[in-house]
Formats: sequence, C-alpha cells, structure tokens
Amino acid sequence: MNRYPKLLLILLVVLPLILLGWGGIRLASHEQERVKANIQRLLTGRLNEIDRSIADQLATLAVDMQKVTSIDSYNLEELRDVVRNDPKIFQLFVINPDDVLLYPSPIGPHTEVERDFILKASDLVNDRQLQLSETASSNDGRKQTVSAPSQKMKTKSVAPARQAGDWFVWNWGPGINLIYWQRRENGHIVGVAVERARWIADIIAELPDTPSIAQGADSVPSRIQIVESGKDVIYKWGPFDPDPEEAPTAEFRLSSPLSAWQLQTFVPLHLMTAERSGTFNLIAGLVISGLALIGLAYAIDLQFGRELREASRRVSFVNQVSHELRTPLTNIRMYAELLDRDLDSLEENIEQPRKRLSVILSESQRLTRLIGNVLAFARQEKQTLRVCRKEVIVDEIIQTVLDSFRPSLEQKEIEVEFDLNATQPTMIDPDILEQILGNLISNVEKYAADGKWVKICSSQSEQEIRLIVADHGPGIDVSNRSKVFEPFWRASDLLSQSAGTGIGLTIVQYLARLHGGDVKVRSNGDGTQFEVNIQTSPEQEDES
Amino acid sequence: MKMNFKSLIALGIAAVLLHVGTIQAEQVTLDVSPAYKVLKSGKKQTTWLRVGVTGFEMKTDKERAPVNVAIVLDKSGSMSGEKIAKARQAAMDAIDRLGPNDIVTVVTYDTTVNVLVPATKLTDKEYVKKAIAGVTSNGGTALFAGVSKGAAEIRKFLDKERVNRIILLSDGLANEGPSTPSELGALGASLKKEGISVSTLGLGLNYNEDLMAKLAGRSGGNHQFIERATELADIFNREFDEVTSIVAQEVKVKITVPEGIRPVRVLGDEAEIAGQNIQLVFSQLYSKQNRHVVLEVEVPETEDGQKLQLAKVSASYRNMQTGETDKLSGATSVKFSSKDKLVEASLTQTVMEDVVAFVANEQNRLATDYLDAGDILKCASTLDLNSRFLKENADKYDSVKLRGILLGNKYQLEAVQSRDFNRARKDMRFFQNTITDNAPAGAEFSKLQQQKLQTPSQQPEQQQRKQVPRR
Repeated sequence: MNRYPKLLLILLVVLPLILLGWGGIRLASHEQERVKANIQRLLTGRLNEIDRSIADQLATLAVDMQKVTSIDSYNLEELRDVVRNDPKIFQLFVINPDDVLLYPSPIGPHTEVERDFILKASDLVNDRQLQLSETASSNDGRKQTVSAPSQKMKTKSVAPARQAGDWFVWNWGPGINLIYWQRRENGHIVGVAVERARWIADIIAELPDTPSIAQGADSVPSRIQIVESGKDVIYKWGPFDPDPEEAPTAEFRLSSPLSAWQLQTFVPLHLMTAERSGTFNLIAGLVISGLALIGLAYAIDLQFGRELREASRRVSFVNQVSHELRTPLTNIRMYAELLDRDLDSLEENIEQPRKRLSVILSESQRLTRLIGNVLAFARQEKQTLRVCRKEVIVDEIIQTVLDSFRPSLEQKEIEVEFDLNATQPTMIDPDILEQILGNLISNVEKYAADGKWVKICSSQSEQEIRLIVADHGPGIDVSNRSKVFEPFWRASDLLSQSAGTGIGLTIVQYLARLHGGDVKVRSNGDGTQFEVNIQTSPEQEDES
Repeated sequence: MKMNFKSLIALGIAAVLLHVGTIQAEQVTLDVSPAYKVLKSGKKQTTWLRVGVTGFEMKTDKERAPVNVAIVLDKSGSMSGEKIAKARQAAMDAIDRLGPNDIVTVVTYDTTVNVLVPATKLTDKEYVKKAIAGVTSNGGTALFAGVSKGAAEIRKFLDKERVNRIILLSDGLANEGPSTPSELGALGASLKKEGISVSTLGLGLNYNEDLMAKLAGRSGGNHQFIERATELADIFNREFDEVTSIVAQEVKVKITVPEGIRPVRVLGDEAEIAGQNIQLVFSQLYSKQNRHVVLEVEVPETEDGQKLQLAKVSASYRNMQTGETDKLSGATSVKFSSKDKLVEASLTQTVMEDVVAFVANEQNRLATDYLDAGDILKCASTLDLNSRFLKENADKYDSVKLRGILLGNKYQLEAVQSRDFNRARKDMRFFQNTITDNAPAGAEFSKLQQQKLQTPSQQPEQQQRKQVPRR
C-alpha cells in the first residue's frame, strides 16, 4: 500500500476536524456574542428601570419645588423662613423681569448661606443663563418632538412641567447641582437651588442596598453604580466586586436633568464569555469526533487494504488462469498437429500417435479440472454449489484420478505409493471427491515434485471417508499454514517459480466442508500432509 | 462638681432673665446675660452677651421620650479585629438599654451599604442583636451612602415626639461616593432641618475628623474622638445616656437686636445672622444640659446715664415630656456710665469666661487651618499665642474652666511640637466641637487636661475618657 491513500486518510481525518473546529469556534463566538448582547439588553433594561425610578423621584421633587417656587410676593422674612425650614433647599432666589437678583439681595445684609449662594451664582445671574436656557429649551422641545419619535414620550411627560417650571443644571463645587425654576406671570423668575447632598442622599435612599451574602445568595451577583462625569462614583450596590480596571458590562446615561450621571453595571466575566464549560464542550466534541474519524479511517484503511490485497490476488489469479489455460491448449494443439503428421505415415508406427493422443487426453483433462476449479470457485462465491450423491467406491475414483495424472507424474519421476482401504460402496458426490483429490495431487505435482514421492491413503468408516495425501516436498511455514486455504494465496507470487491459480486449496476446503467434512494440513521439514474427511451420512450433510 | 458649676451660674446670674414656668410642668430655662451690665459711656464699643438654654431635670417617674435611632456601622476592612468586635458589643449593649417603644435601625457599610435591620420597633431585641453579631468587616468606606440609608430609615418613623438620631461609627476616610466635609456637612444641615441629628464617633487615628466633625456639628449631634477601641463601649453608653434623656428638641432661638446695634458674630454654634435678626437651633437638649452661644455686638456711642436694650430673645422648643411646644422669651439691656469702676464691677464673670473660651476656640480653629496648610510654625505660634491669651484671662478671672482649656491647648501645642500631627489635629477637632457643643465644667475639664499632659498616651483610655464631662 503506498503513501497516497494514507495521505487521503489523514486528510479525511484532519479536514473535517478543522472544519468542525472552525465551525465550532464560529458557533461558540457567535453564541457568545448573542449571549453578550442578550445580557447587555437585559442589563440595560434594568438600568433603564432604575433611571425611570430616579426620574420619578426627581419629578416628585419637581412638584414639591414647583409649589415652593409658586410665590408672587417676595417678603424677605418669608423667603428666609422657607430656606430655614425646608431640608431639601440650599437657597431660594428671585430674579425680577429686569434680570436683577431680587432675593437674596446682593446689597442688603445677608446670611452666610445667602452670601455663599450669591458668590456661587453670580455667573448664573449675570450671564442670564436661566433666561437663555428658557428660549433654548423651548426650541429644543420642538425639535425633539419632530425629529426623534423615540423621545416623544419623555418630552410629553416633561412638557406640562416645562410650562410651569424646569430643571437647570448648574456646575460648581463637587459636581452638578440642580436648580428648579419658573417664570411667574408677573415676569419674575423664582428658583430654588436644591441641596445637592440632600437630593443625592434621597436618591441613594431609594436605590437598593446590598444585602449580606447570607440574605441574598440566590441571584446572579452583579454590581451597579452611578457615576458622575464618567469618574466619580456616587453610589454603588450589589454583591459583586469587579476589578477596578474592568469596563462596565452595560452603561446607561440617565435622562435629563441628570444626564451628567451614568449608570454602570458589572457582572462576572464568566457570565459573558459562554463560560469555560462551552470551551470544554467544544474541545470534548472535537476530541470525540476526532477519535470517531480516526476509527473510521482505520476501519476504511483495513477494509481498503483487504480489498486491495484481494484485488491484487485476483489480478494474479487472472494471470495464472490465462497462463494455465494457455499451456494445456498449446500442448493439445501441438500434439494434435504432431498426430496429424504422424497419421500421414500411419503404416510405419501406430504406437507414436497413441502416446500423443493420450497426452492430448490428459492435458484436456487438466484443462477440464482447471476449468472445473474456476467454475467451482465462481459457484462457491455465488453459493450455488450442490452436493449430488451417487453410490460409488472411493478407491476406484482414486485410481481413476491417479490414472489421469500418471503421465505427468511419470514425467516428473514422482513415485506413487498407495494405501487404499475404502473399497465399500458409499453415497458421496464423486465429482467433489475427484476435484478434491485432483487439486491435492496437482499441488504435489506442482509444488512438491522435488520430493519425488507421493502417498495416498484412504480409509472408510460408517460416517466418513478419510483421505491422506502426503509428500516429501519443501513443506509450509508455520506462519503460512493457516493462509494456505485463503483464496489466491500462494507461497510465492512469482509466475516463474511454479504454476498455479491459488484457489486449489480454497476449493478443497470449501468442497470438503460442503460435504460435511474438513481438511487439515500438517507440515514439517519432511514434507506436507493433507488429510481430508468427508461425511457419508446424508442426514449430517443435510444439516450442514 | 458639675452641679457646683451649674449652681454657680444660677447664682451668678442676677440677670434680666425671664419667663419662669412656674406652674406644674418643668420648663427649659432661657437666660440672656450681658458680659457687662454697665458700659462705658461716650464711645463706640464692642461687647458680648450670652444666650443660653438649660434643660430641666428629667423626672425618672415619667416616661422618657421614645427614641428613633439609626446605628450606622463602618465595617470596612480597616475595622477588622478588635475594632469591629468592640463595635458589635457596644451596639448590642446599646440595644439592651432601649425599650419596646423605641425604634432601631442598623445599617452597615463598606464599599456598599446594607440595611441590616430596617427601622423597626424594638420588640425583638434578640433578633437585632443577632444581626449585629453577624457583622464582619471588609471593603471600602461608603460613608455618605451609609448615612443616607440611615436617614431614610429614621424618616420612616420620623416624629417630633421621638428623639431622632443617627449614630455613625467610622474609623476611616470616606472613599466611596460623596466624601468631602462640605458635602457631608450639607447633608447634616439638611437633616437638622428635619430634626434628625447625627452623632459621629471617630475611632482610631485614621478617620477624617473634618468630615466627621462637620457632619456632627452641622446636624446638631456630637462628635467624639475615640482613640482606642476599648473606649467604644463607654462612648456608646454616653451617647445613649444622652439620647435617652432628651428633654427638649428643636430649641429655636431668635435674637433681635434693636436698630443701631450691629451684630458682629455668633460664637459657639452655627447661627444665621440676617440684619438685626439672629436665629439658631439647638437640635436637642438633654436633662439639665446647658447650651449657649455668645453674641458679639457693636454698641454705638451713648451718653452717661442712658439705658439701652441690647437684645430681645424668644425661643420655642418641643417639650419631650409633655409633648407640647413651649415658648420662652427674654431680654437684656445695659446702662451707660462714665465711671470705669462701675463698669468693671458690672462684669459677669461666667459670661466673660465663655467669651474667652469661644474666642480661644476660634483661634484653635485657625491653628488647625495652619496645620492643614502645612505651616507648622504658624500653627505652633498660634497655639502658643492662644495659650498666653488663655493664661492671661484665666488669671484675670481666676477661672478653673479657662485653665482647663489652657491645658488642652498646651497639650495640642506639645503634640504639634513633637510632630504628632495626627493626634494633635484629632484632639483639636474634638475639642473645638466639645467647647462648641456644651461648655465643659471647668474643674473636671482641667483634670482631664492635666492627665493628658502628664501621660499623653500611656493613660488607660477608659479612665481618661470617662472624665469628659457630659452634663
């Protein structure tokens, strides 16, 4: 067997594995992407809910602040009382229609908080930031409703509030601050800076806490945090503790006015990457299918090799058969020609043509046997052989067969010894017996002619006939002894060494078994001995 | 000792002091006294008046006001070991002291917050104690969020009838969420408006004293510096002593100064000065506690023999034993004389002592600022100057109280000079808060300071802290 089929087999194993691996990885990464997207969608949904709850809280605050800012008379003490008593308020302020800060008055005596506010808010008032945002936001609002349908809901919900008042985001100190303000019908702007620490504390109070592990071990651990301006953590919760370097799994920008805040959520990495078990599954699958493919390839290799060997034997068989067929035919033709010439001078010698005719006869018999063998083989393959029993005397058949071999045996100077003890008539198939015997003697003639000796023994009992054909040939190696019955097997394939088709013993074995018996081979340095038993009892034969 | 001091005040004040709730129920007393009852005529000058309130004695036969308290425990990694164990024990002991009418919340925080025991009537003490016993330390310090959650729980049962308080224990720097003193202070101020005060207990030498002091100060709670975990039980106990003996809440004091007299500043507590009106709120007043501020005013030139009203004071508070809102009022005036002797003789010593103490306190704050700016020399010299100022006045008025403060000042100066800045700074903040909160009685205060000077750190802590006078 050459290398090419081996290569093909390796390809047969490797290519599907590569394809499978590639497909598996693609599938896994695709799956991973899908899982990731799913988880992200889920997480973002959760963040969205949190955002909504915070927005609701701010809306409630806005309602409160709207009440606070709905004032049209500006008595200093009353305003101060509001600031003094409302825990949510940092400072209240009033700007008159001429954009002048009415309260807290920059000139009059003021409290510390008022002074603090005036300092912080000077830009806010001087640059008319609220007034500018008023026009901008109304434009914005219109734009939003037209161009972004997804924002419609939000705009709608904010819109009624906007008419009365609005949030303004203001940066100073540690971060963003909220101002709620409205323009009163008298043209005054009344606004309130809500206490940053307080509204943050209130938002935190509404957000979930982190129950200790014992209290909530059931769900998947995650961490959510609110981050201001992308870096300052305002509040975080959830039992999962991510690496500080880790990027958030999902992010969500809070809706206005807290758009400087982001919600971030973290979940354990193994949730996102279709887990180690996914990779394990992939590898396990690859290994299993790899093994299966290798097994398959091995089986194919075995089968293929057997077929190949069989095929090569068949080829050699055909060679042999044609060779074998040619020889007797050549002989028959040659002797027939000779006989033809001899017959021209018939008077001189009558013995000569007789001899030649007998050669022609024996060669034709050989040809007959050969063809009989081929036919038997073919039938054996097709399972169409049948046993036809007749009453015969075994020794007579042996004599007849040997007679047909006599010329060639004599020619090869092979001495024949008999020990024939099957003289009683029995019911066997004479053709099968003839064929078995013919093949065995023919083998002696072909392969053991050097021994110059053949012995044929026969014996007979109630149930069986036993035949032994022994020679003094070169013998058969132990390792080959079982193979001699395989079709087309020959000790040597060389045509020159000796003739033969390689199916003789196969047929012997097949026929013996067909006849309810078997054939055994014994061999040593002194020669080879074939022992054949065949059943005479028809019942037994029927069974087999 | 304390009683002596109190009675001394009572005796010393022959002041213009009014509204004696004579009838059945006990009343908080309001006193308004000028440093000098007679002022020098013919010149523009600065003078001081003290406005104080004193809680009545809580009657043991009456039921105390129920409390609504949130214990907020820092369980960050730095608390591990003895600290958390002591904190657990102290909290559990505190639970034992409360009754079934009280409301308790337990919040723990590290990197995140856990509302361990949501606000609940304390009917099942064992449950709460068991929850506290399971607290272990780990993680960062989300102080702001811890207080936020604690306040939210308090708010569930927020009631004027109750003493609403958060008790925060931390040993570290807030590092999760809003963490600046001003933010925490603002939160404290906001909570004060609702009647919730935050007492902060700073444990060890690593907490942020500014933040803790500010949170407590602006919310009307106490700030404590606890150097060793072994003192914890004591401080907790004292805190609960106070919480369970509150007799008045939301003591709102309004001082009106007539036109012509200019209010300059208020020493001793956070107050709002708006024109001629000064307003301040003492969140809580416990049994027999005296709290006061000193108002510095500028008095115009006045002729000999004239009489001038200095201030009118009105106050309102919620009486925790009767559940009613009571009102108080008072006023004070001064005479003018050209005779120095008369002026000198009119001095009310206790008021002047407070003035000196508060001024010294302001100087002490200044010294802290210098320390923060890294100007050790300036800090030391300010403390030194302050010491001299205190000594001079202590001698002048022969004041035990001022000597006590002087010793504290010296102790801090020594700590600064020996480069023990951390301890010095924490002591200063603690001090500033203590003086602001309720002026300690002189003798005991000075005893404490003396101990500190003699054995600054070897002193058994428990004993040392026990000396801090609370009432």
